[in-house]
Amino acid sequence: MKMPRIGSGGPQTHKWLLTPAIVAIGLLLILPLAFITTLSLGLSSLDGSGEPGFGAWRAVLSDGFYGWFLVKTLFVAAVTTAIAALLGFPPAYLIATSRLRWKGLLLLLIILPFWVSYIIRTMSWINILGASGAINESLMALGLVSEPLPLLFNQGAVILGLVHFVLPFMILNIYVALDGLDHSLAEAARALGASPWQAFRRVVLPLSLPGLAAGSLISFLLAAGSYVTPTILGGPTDAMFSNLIYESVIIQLDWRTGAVLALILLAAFGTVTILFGRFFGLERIGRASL
Amino acid sequence: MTSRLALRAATIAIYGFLFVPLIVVMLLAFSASQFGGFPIEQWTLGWFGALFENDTILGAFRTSILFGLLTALISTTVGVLAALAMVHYDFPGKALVATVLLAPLLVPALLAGALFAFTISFDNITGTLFWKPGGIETVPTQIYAMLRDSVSPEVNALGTVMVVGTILIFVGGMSIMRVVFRGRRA
Repeated sequence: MKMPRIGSGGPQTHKWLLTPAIVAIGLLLILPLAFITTLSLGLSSLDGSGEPGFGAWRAVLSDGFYGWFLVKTLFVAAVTTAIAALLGFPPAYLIATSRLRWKGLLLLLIILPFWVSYIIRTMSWINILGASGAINESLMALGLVSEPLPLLFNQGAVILGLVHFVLPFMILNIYVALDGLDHSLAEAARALGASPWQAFRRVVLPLSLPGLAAGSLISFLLAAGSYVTPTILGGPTDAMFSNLIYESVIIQLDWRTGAVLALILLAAFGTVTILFGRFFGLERIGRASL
Repeated sequence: MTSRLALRAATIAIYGFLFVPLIVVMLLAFSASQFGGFPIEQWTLGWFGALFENDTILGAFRTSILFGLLTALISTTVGVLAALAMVHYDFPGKALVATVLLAPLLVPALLAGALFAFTISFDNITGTLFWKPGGIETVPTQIYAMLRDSVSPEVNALGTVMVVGTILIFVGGMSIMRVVFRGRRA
């Protein structure tokens, strides 16, 4: 009897099922990217103007303004990520080591913000930080300040909003890495003479590293790519790199500069992702985020 | 266990950080004051009424729901086909038969995927702001436009509707799936 070869016919007959996905990725990712590249080089344009060449690239790269903005944006994203990692760790550890009944509820509450509109989560801070917001009204009612504090429309408010936005991603990723961790591991370390810090540093932290790395990468990229949060919670000087892209494309209709800026930001993100992969192993990060 | 207690306290504080702003939005949606703010002296349902008489906002809702449904339909179709291809990579032939046979099994996963796609599309603003032609607003871009001046009680009411709406959709969707799953196991 002839044994059916495993896989015979499979790849051929089922290949067509992948076609829509490949077409979708090609149409929605590769093609626009190719278009943006030709746009930035002046090989294509929307109004038939402009001549081919590296003119737009040269103009952007020689202008320190853009470089400074990129550094500032990456810095804001890094601060956001660091704060989110610090704030995300305690809940993630508690969820991972709590009993089943509590675990479900705590996890549900962390997933809940994902369902709530990003714009609402962002603008909710205006109610808290604004001149007639919860904090200022409370402080004034208590007589601690006579005038509202300028809590809103500054860099701090932007970072606060971004932390609020990325924190659930961070908590979930750390949680996944720590899930199933026996709480008694840290206790055993303590019993063997480790200080609480040592137990954390030597036992818990290494185990959580893949999740921490995945959460940090996601948080960093989300924060560095944001442009709505700075316009809602930031002042005029708190714009980020993506705001420059929006400004070029939508306000000034300078698609060519916008394309150059978008590609630069993409390159920066790619570099960060590669660096993360070098340090933590992209495969481990990928597995943790699943 | 003092360290455990400290951990609990920190977790409660961090959960508070996540949820207090949303609770404040929902509280202020019922405040009679035009400027929001605390303390809330008078309560009203008026802002919700105003919402349902506001044609711009109703239009934005219609646009968002339409886009959300289209996104869910297209991405689920593409996604299911790709998933089938990947799962069956080692399986000999009979693609069509397998597809037909598997379809009912896929329903819960399909529903979850579609729901996911719908909410992601419904909430999208970063992309929408770039793509939308002038004059067409989705709910998020409409809120964004209304925020230019300050947070009005109407925006808080709209936010409350969105929050409660999405949570209801998700809880509803998950309950349906749970029923479907349970029916299968029995």
